[in-house]
Amino acid sequence: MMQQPISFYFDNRIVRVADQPITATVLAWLRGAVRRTGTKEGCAEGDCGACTVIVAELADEAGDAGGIRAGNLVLRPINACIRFLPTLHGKALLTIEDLAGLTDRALHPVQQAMVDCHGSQCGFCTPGFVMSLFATYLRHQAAQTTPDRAAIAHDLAGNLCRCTGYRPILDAAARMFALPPATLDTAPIEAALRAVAAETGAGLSYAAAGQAGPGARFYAPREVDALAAWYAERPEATLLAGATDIGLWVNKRFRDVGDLLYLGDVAALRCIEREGDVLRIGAGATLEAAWAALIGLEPALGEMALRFAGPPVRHAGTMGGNVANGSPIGDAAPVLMAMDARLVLQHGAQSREVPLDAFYLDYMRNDLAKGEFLRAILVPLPDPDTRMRAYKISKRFDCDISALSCGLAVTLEGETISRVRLAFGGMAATVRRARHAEAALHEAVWGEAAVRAAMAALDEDFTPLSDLRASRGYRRLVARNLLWRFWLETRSAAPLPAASVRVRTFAMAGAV
Amino acid sequence: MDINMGNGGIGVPVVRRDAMAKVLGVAQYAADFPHENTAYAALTLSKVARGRISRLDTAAAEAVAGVRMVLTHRSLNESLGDETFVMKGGHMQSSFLPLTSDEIHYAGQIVSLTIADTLEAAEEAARLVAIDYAREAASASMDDAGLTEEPADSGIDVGDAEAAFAAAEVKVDATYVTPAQHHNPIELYAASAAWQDGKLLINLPSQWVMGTRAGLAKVFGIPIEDVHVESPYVGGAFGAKASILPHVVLVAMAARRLGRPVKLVVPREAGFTVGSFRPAARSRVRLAATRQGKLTAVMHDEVGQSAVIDHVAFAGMEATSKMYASPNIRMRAATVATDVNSPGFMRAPAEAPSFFGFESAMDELAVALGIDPVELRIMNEPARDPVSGLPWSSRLLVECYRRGAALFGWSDRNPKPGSMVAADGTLIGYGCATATYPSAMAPSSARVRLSADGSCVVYCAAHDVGTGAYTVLGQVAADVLGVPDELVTVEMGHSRHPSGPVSGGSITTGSAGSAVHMAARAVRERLFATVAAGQDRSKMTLADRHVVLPDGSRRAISDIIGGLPGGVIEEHADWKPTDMDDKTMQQGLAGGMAFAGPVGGTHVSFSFGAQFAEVRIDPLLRTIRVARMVGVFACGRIINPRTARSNLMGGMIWGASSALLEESQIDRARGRFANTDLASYHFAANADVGEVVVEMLDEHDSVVNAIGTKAVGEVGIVGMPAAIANAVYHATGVRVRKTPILMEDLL
Ligand SMILES: Cc1cc2nc3c(=O)[nH]c(=O)nc-3n(C[C@@H](O)[C@@H](O)[C@H](O)COP(=O)(O)OP(=O)(O)OC[C@H]3O[C@@H](n4cnc5c(N)ncnc54)[C@H](O)[C@@H]3O)c2cc1C
Ligand code: FES
Ligand code: FES
Repeated sequence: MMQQPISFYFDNRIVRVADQPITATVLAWLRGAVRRTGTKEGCAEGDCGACTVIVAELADEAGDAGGIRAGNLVLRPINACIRFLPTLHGKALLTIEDLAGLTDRALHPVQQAMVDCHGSQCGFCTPGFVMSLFATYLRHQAAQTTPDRAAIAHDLAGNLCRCTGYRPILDAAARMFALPPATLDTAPIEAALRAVAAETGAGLSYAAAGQAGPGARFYAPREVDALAAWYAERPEATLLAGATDIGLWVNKRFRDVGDLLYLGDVAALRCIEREGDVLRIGAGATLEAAWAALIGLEPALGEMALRFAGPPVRHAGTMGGNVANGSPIGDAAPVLMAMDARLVLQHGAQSREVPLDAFYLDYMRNDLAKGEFLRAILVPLPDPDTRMRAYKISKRFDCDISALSCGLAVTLEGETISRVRLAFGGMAATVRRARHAEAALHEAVWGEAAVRAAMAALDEDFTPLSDLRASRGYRRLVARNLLWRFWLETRSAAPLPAASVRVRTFAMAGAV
Repeated sequence: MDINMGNGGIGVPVVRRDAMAKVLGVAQYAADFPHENTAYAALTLSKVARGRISRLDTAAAEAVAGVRMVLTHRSLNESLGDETFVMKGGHMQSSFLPLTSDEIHYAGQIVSLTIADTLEAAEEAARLVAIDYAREAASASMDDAGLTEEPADSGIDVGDAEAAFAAAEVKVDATYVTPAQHHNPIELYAASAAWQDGKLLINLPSQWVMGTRAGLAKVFGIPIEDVHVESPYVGGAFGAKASILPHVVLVAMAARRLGRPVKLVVPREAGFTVGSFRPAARSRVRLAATRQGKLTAVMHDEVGQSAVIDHVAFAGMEATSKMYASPNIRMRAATVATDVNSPGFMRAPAEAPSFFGFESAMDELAVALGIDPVELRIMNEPARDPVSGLPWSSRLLVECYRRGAALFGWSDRNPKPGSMVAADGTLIGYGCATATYPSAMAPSSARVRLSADGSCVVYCAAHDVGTGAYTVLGQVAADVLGVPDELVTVEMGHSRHPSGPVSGGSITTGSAGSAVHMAARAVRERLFATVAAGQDRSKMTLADRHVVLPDGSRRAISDIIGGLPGGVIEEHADWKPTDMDDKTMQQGLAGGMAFAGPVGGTHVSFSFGAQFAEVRIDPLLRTIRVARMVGVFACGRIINPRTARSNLMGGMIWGASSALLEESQIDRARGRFANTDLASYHFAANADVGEVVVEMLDEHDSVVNAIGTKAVGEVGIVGMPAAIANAVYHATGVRVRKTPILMEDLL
């Protein structure tokens, strides 16, 4: 395949980059190669949001609905520090420096509102917040809505500020919609992206000028078959999705990831669609899109989705990557397991299906063969008599890795439990179901006695560890209490409203 | 004091002067400065906590294409000027400069600095520096066995506290523990150094450009004028950037050897040991009272973690001893030396840990007495400083409590623990605590220039670390000169400006502000003298770019200044605190640490506040959420309510963060900090912050300094951890005597 430069829209034109290593981050390129230093580095691992930028792509190429629509573009806020530059090929990159140019005033309404509301103190987090707010602005501008305070807080969950205490920034987010509007003219961007798409053909094949051997090649096909064939031939390459795990391996653990096979440009892998009584989530669908689809099936998953990282990570990372990576504290697996999800795995032209609850073999080990990849996640549509909850317990409420998370579901016939799934993360070497506790509930009446028996049975299911996130004793107690809470919230008589435990509502009151 | 109110100057919530540059992304922070032909540096850090380097091999690192230099203890061999630790009168973050020997004193110590043409090459080479260590047993935690306490000061004694305690009717005796913490400003530490004709230009985020200049001049043995320190924007500091960090010296040295600019950005993880931190502390507090609630003895013994390389204590008993009226007071500080990097100042370094224990103990005493915690504090309000006997320059703590209690709805509180439960079973707790912070002052210079068009420039080598100094110092000048705020420009953060104080200890507004005030007054005097020699200047005023003469007639500034040679009036002022002698002042202006207060010759000056918190605790999961915080403060004159409020609010959120989240965990087996990234060093994200109410009382202090301001930047954090712990007790009946308070602590 012919080598091509990385071509993307930046600074009002198409730029072509041929000299960067395949794991060069967008942040390093911005700050180093082109000296666009408005975008800041605060952690280099997706935690602080100081590096937030917007990546836009053509909507008809994007394949999923998780982004923000403007014209025929889909825009996503992402963390530039863990995004590899070659993945920008065929897309547009917008940074803090672009905003003022979108208006004929000195400042974009987002920026003006930040000034008016004192949303910037030391200012180091500011470009990141402005870009996250810009995403909020575009989304609501397109939908002709205005967000409430809770929605704003959710949108800013991936940005940390050490100075302001956040209140002034939330105020700015409310104010920006009251200022004279600015619109993003997407036409020139779309035209440029179409031109790049036309010259790209079947996909980008890139190697940094002067580099060869393993670790030099980056391949981003646009068709599944091409991806499958390439991977089957070169199973030692690393399959790259949103890089929200892999970016950290490179930046923090200095791991040599070899050649990269990027699946993000395969539109077919990013589709989410209903097929009969199954929701099919393409492995490349973003976390943002996949969670939205799951919430469509089960609204009680809303809070779990919001507390899964922050928006820039959810707009970049994929649910397929989360499942494939298989961390014992990954948040998607317990939920999907409680929903009886099945995985479609593909190797070359062959594909097979495995139930998710049989996929994890041991700590960070799964059932994928060499050169095999996850193509889709199949989620059966829930039975109307199913009651489901997902809970996430972490030290910090937002933007924190779980100490423990779970997906809990019971299907009732009358008051008798005909199906039960209790899947836990953070309790063992892999995410897995609590079979003893499930047995205690199966065919029992959904009532206090059975729940108490299941709580006791959890001790047979798990011997959790103590670590920096929580002690064994806490995990044990809270796993039991989560079952109890599940019952309180889903019992037929006087269920506890879910909202009462959703503590984020406190954050919404403004500062006075 | 003469302050022209209503000129768009003092007391007006002017929008930040630097906001525009920041929202556009054009404000240049240290890592953003371009230098031609820059080489990039990367660090290698020690993996062991104590011992020696037994083998060092840099061949592989040097073989990486583009590598220019690998600086290690072997290649450093250069005699440097004898500059010391900032708390021993020098400017360095530590007495120990890495690479000056093969000794390892703490995990994460810099063991080499690799410089290359590109950052990637430097980083790759840094990983290839091969080192073996002769490792020795280390203790990074003050709780390790076998460590001894050493007294850190002679203590404070009033009356006979031990005897009074022994005889008391009601008493509390409890020990409270606070962990090590790291500042973690969002901006990473960074430095870029360039030499030209023997002169050093250094860009770094700094809270003390004058001190950094003086220190680097000494280290490199060059005249002070040959060092230029530039730090126009600082991405948060909180005390972390108030001294010269070791990498700064190494980067400057590498740049000199290479004859080429060198830039280093310190990764987040390395920042935990390249910089300083807030050390762990243990406070034993003993309080005794009569049944009616009058304190009879106040005792506070604090043991703080220090470093083997720098014994340093941050105990806050100067403040806790002054909180309440008691005839008997006894305070002692001690330290335990551990194998860690030198601890340093972190927002309210002494006060924040000490007040967690002290104000928790006050709550315990209130419980023991059955007296409302707010009333207990009001009952024990001292008319004068109970230690020195001097009057306060101002103290409105009781008013803060009364106003705060009203705002918070304290009267709704049922004092019985666990008695307030929401409809869904959520436990609700209310707590309060006192906050205070000393109002110290440092000498400062400033220059003010007024031009014919009414525009005004303020020059001062002070710093805006996010606090709002750019805005506030300009307002002081605008106020005196009667010019609209938009016409004022403020230049700070560069050592070429007139000397400014360290931006630490919440002193910038009072100190640099007083200097600006003085310089602006001098400009005004010249203006008056020019316009009407011989007239009574005390009857002249300045408003709206005009001089108003005693007879009421007006003369435009443009006419007066336009006629002067140069077309400007410019005046320099050197300001010093009332109680300071000239010699100390000169030392301070030359970049030395020179503080006056908070205990002066005639008065004692502190800011005060009353803080309230409401927590909500999930009965099943024990998760703790701070639903509301109220803080009412008395900090003297508020130059800009917008920036002041923001600092106080930010401080309160730091307090909440400290109460529930922040801890630098120590891996005791390996003697190092364990959670050295932002994924596991938690501080508050936006969802952790509930409703926050901040109010500032209108307080007039005619003694503290020329403009009547007291400390604002740090007081907000001080009472919050105890207020939250007290609220947790009220919600659950569980008294947690440590921070952070975790869900596990409530099992
Ligand atoms: C700041 C931050 C916060 C986070 N918070 C959370 C959280 O709250 N909860 C949580 O669960 N996770 C969290 N994560 C991790 C989460 O973002 C990732 O697990 C993510 O879902 C992985 O998807 P990705 O597309 O980024 O995968 P990548 O990083 O690109 O890849 C991850 C792994 O999966 C493999 N892979 C990817 N796609 C496939 C496929 N289709 N077939 C086979 N293998 C594949 C890759 O080869 C690699 O081994 C967080 C991450 C960050 C940086
Ligand atoms: S630099 Fe912190 S998220 Fe990217
Ligand atoms: S303004 Fe300083 S980190 Fe947000």
